[in-house]
Amino acid sequence: MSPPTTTEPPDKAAEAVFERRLAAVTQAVDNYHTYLMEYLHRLTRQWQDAENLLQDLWRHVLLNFDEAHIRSLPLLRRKAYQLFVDHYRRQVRRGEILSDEVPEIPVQQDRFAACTPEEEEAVKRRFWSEYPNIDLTTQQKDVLWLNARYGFTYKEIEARTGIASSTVGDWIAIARTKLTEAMNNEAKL
Amino acid sequence: MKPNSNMKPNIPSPRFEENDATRLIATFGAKPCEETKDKIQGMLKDQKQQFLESNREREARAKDGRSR
Repeated sequence: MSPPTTTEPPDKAAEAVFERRLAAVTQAVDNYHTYLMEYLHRLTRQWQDAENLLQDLWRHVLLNFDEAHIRSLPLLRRKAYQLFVDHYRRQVRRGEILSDEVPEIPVQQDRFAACTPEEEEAVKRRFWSEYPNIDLTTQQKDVLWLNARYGFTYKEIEARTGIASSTVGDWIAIARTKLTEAMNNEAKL
Repeated sequence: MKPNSNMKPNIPSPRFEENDATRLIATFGAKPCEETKDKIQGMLKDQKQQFLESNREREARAKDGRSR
């Protein structure tokens, strides 16, 4: 006669912890999935690889992150970068070649249509707070934001802000360079 | 064979370029579509058993450590 199978009663406390962590990760997915997808795509240059790495990231966050850090974008980005490094090493071992071709995927402007001006302002502040040491004035950040976020031309930015379009062009060039440097410095940490 | 001291670790250098900065601004704060959210949510819910098992193992190890 086989021994009776005993099923342990589910650990209610652990289940509650899981549900709490799941809720936190779900919120992080809502806030950062699109951004991190773009971030990983810029690293891998492959949408499929970026998608796989992002799934690995969310799984890792759910199972291993300190609960207080689940919604911390710098830590999420850091872990995403580590996953990319592991992925890159695997590719090198297998002799796969990374594609240098970056497909241009148009930004869906309607993704922002539901945002109120206050929400957009908060998103902008949150974005720049990611790079606290960047040496740019608020106006320089604003003109880059208008150009990169909404696709406004230099002339349109001049009409909205009163800053000469030639200055707008210079500031956008400076801001793009400094932001790129900041992103690359972060990845080197 | 002696390891070459000049060899660098096999870590890719950052590859961000200026148009990457622009793209990241454009997507910051954008919400994923419902289909993507559902897909991720399903995948995360599937991790429950693994989480509970890991938790049991952790607790058993901690208990074992205390009893020693």
